[in-house]
Amino acid sequence: MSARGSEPLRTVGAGMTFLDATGLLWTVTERNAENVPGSRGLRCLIFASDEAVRRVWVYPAGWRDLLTTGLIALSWSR
Amino acid sequence: MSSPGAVKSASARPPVLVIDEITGDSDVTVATLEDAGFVAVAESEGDAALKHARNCLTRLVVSELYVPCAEGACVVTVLKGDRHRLPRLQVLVHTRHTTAADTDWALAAGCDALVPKGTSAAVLIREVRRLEGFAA
Repeated sequence: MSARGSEPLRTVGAGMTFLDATGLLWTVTERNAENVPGSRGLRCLIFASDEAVRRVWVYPAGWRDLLTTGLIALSWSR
Repeated sequence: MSSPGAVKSASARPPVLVIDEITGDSDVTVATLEDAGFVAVAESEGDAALKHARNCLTRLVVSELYVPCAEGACVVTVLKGDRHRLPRLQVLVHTRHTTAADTDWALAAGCDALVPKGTSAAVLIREVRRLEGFAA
């Protein structure tokens, strides 16, 4: 547990990376989220770049099979 | 005059709540939001922010990360955990704290998105608009 009293979310499986249309590098990881306040599921996806981080709750089981365009679209969803 | 059954306009939405203990930072954030057409209000203290959010049924919060309140060490955690009163609340953390540990903390606190301070206004507004759609 950290000094501030919260544990980092455990990463599940392998992450992915992609470049968006502007050349910005994004990493995508699936995280355990059952203990997150306001959680909408057992897991979530975290899209992270130098500009922003997005949490996505609703995504397909086969998200790792998506092409870059699919991952970009998914990052805009809830 | 509108009829009693008239549909509320978009302006009837509660304002975006900016929570930041650094007044200069919150002034910039509020101005950025207002320039983009949002109505925004700022609170610099966690308990006042909680009270405001619950009274106004706030749907969108832009908050610094480590703002304490009486109900917990981090107002973001308390707000996101209050699903009974704030079921549609979306929280974007807008922060000077940009280490990997800070980001992990923000995600564990329940934030829906994070934008580091110093990122362009266009990026902040882009991410706020993304969450605005989920809060509707």
